[in-house]
Amino acid sequence: MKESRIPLVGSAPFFHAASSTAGDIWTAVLVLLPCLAWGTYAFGWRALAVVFCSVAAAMVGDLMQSGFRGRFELGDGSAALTGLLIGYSMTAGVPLHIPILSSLFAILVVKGAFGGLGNNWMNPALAGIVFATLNWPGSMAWIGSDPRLGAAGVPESLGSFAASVDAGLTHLFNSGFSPIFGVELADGYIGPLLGLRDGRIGETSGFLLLAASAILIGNRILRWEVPASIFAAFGTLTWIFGGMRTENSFFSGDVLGALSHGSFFLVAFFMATDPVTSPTRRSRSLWYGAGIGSIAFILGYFGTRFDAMGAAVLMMNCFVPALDGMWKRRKEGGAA
Amino acid sequence: MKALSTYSNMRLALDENRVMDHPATIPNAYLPATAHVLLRQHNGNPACAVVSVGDEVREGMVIGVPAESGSTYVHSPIPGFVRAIVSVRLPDGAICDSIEIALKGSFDRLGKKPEKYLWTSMRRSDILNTLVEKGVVTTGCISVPFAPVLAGFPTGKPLFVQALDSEPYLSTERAIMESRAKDVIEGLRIVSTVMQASSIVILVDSALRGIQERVAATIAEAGSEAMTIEVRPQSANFPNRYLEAGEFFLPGTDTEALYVRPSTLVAVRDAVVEAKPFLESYVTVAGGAVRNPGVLKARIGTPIGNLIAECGGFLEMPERLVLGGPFTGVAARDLSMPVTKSMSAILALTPMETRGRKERPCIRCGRCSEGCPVLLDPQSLWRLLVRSQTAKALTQGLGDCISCGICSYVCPSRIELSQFFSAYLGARE
Repeated sequence: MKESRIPLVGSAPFFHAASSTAGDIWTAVLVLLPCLAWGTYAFGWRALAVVFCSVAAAMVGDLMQSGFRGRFELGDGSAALTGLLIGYSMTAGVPLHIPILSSLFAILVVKGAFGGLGNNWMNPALAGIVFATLNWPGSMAWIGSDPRLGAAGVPESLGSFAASVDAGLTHLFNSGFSPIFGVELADGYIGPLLGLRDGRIGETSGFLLLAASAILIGNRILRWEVPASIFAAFGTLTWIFGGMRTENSFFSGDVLGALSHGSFFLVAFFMATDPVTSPTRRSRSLWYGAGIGSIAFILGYFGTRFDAMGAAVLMMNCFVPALDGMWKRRKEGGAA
Repeated sequence: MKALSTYSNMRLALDENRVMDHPATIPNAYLPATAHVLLRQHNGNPACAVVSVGDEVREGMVIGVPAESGSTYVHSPIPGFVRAIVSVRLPDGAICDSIEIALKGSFDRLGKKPEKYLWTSMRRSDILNTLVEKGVVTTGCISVPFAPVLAGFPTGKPLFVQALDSEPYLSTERAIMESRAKDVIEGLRIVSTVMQASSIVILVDSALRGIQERVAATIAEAGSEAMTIEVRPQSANFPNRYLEAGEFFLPGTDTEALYVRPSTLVAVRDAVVEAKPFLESYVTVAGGAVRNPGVLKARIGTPIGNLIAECGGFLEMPERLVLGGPFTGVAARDLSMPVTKSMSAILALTPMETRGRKERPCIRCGRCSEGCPVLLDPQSLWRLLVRSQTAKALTQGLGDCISCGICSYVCPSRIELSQFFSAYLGARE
C-alpha cells in the first residue's frame, strides 16, 4: 500500500471543529442577500448597481492591499462582506462614485494600512460609511433624497399597498395579543419592520435583517450579547428620557418606534458584532454593547444628522483594547 | 488536583464518531507473520535487547530488559526467530531499536487453558515484582511502567478507574469494561490491595445507557469482600471527561488520587493471576476512512496496516493516520508502524474529519478562550509568543497549558495554537 500521500509531520490535535473563518464570513454574506433582493425590488435596479459597485471596489481594493503584502486573501470573504455592508448603507439614488470610494477607503486605509484582516481596530464597513457621510452628507441623508419616493416616505412601487398591509397586520397582531398584554399596537410599526418604508438599500427590511442575524446567532457566528445589550441600553434610555421632548415627562419614550427602525439592525447585528473590533470575552461584549446603546442614544437625542448608532460603534471600538485588558487573567497566580 | 468545578465552560459533545457496537468479546486480531517489537513502547527509556539475530524465541520470552529507570521488560509476543534488529524512527521523532520476529513454532499460551494463581496470598513486593517482570505499563496518553508508580504511591489514597474514553473516536476502555468487567474488577482489587486505597470509584460515561447498572451488577457478582466500589457517571462533555478523568497527570505525580484505566487493570490482572506478560494491546481501529471500525485485541508488534486490513481496509485514502486519540495522539508515518503496549487506537481520518484548511489571520473570535479548560486566553498568549514576549506570556499563565489541543480544535482560522504552545514549552524544558 502506498503511504507517501499521508502527511508525515504534524502534531495533535489532528482534527478540527467544522467552522472556519472563511466559511463563517461567506455565510454572513449569503444570509444578507435576501435584503439585497428586497432592496432591489423596492428601489429598482439602481440599488443593485450601487451594491455591485461597493462590493466590486472592496474586492479590488482587497486584492491591492493583500497583494501589497505578498498574499491574496480574497477567499476569506471579508472584503465582500465589507463591500456589501457599505452598499446596504447607501440609498439607491446615490452617485456611483460614492460607494466605490467609500469601499476603497474602508479596505485600503482602515483594513489594509493596519495589516489586513484581524488587525484593524475599527470596523472597515462602518468607517467607509462614516467616510461617505462626512464627505457627501447630502447624498447620504435619505429622507426625501430620492425623487422616486412618494410623499409618505414609502417607495412608489410599494406605496399602493404599504399602508393597507401595515393596517391589516397591526389589526391581526392586536386581535391576537392585546387580550394578553392589555394594550393595542398603533399603526405604523409592523409595516416599517417588514420593510414597507423608505430607507437605505439593505436596511429597509428590519425583518429580513433579524432573520439573517437569527441564523448567524444560531450558528454561533455572531454573538447575541452585543445586539442584546445595545438594544437593552438604547431601549431603556429611550423609555426613560425619550419622551422628554414631546411629552415633557420621564418614562414615556416610544421604545418600539425607536427599535423597529431597521437602520439600527444593520449596525447592531452586523457591524458592532465584528469579532475583530469587539471584545473577545462574552461578558465584556455586554459592556461593549451597553456602551454603544448609551452613546447612540445620547448622539441621537441631541439631534445630530450623523448616523448615531454607527458613530457609537466607532467610539466603542476605541475602548475594546481597554475592555479586553481589564481583568486579563480569569485565574490568579502563575502555578495552579 | 485542580478544582474540577471550574472546567465547565465548554459545551462540546463529541460522541458522534464513536464505535457504538461492541460484541460480548473483543476479537483477537490475526497473528502477524512478522512482529516488530519496539524496545521503547511508552514514554520513558528503551529497554536493552537480550537476543540477537538468529536466536529462537518462545511466546512470552523476555527479549528486552530494562536498561535504566523508565524502561521495562519486553517479551516476545509470538514464537519464532529473530530475523533482524533494525533501528526505526518512532512517531515522536526518537530513534529506537526494533526486534523483528518471524513467526515459527508452537505457542506456549495461545489456545491453552491459563493457569490461575491465588494472588490474595501474595506479598505486596511479590505483586510489584510480578508487574515489573511482566512488563506492565500504564496505558493512556502518558504511558510509563506501572510498578514504580504503584510502589511509590502513598497508601490510603482514593483510587479512580477511568472506565470512559476521554477522546472522540476511542472506545477501547468502554469495550474492555463491557467484555472483561470481571477481570477489570479483579485487577482493581489487586491494585487497591497494593496501594491500600481509601476508596474506589469507577468513572463511567454518563452518555452510555445502562453502563452504571451493568458495572454495579458485575461488582456484586464478583463479590468483592470488604471493599465498596462506587460507580460514578461522568459528563460526556468533552473536556470535563478529559480532565476529570485525570488524563493529563503523569501517573503518580498527582499524589492525591491514583487514576488507572481498565486496559491497565486487565494487564495487571493477567500478569498477577495468569503470570502472563504484556503481550497484547486493545486497540480501537476507527476513523471515516476505515470500512468496519471496531476494537481488536492485537499482539504487540503487529503492523497497524494488518489491523486496518482486518477492519475491512480503507474506504478512501486517509488524510491522516493517528496513533492514539485525535487530541493527544501522534501521527503515524506509515502502515508498518507496530502496535505497542501504550497504543490505544489507530485512526484513519478523512479530509472531512480533519477539516484542515489554510491558516488565516486571527479574527479574535474568542472561541479558544471559551474552550480553554484551564482558563487561559490562547489568542493573546499566541500574540505574545509571536512577538517574543515570552515573559509576559508566562505571567499570563502559559505554564499552565496542558496541551489538550482544544484551542487548535475550535480555531476557525486554523491557527496551530496548541502546537505552538507545546513547542515553546517543550523547548523550554
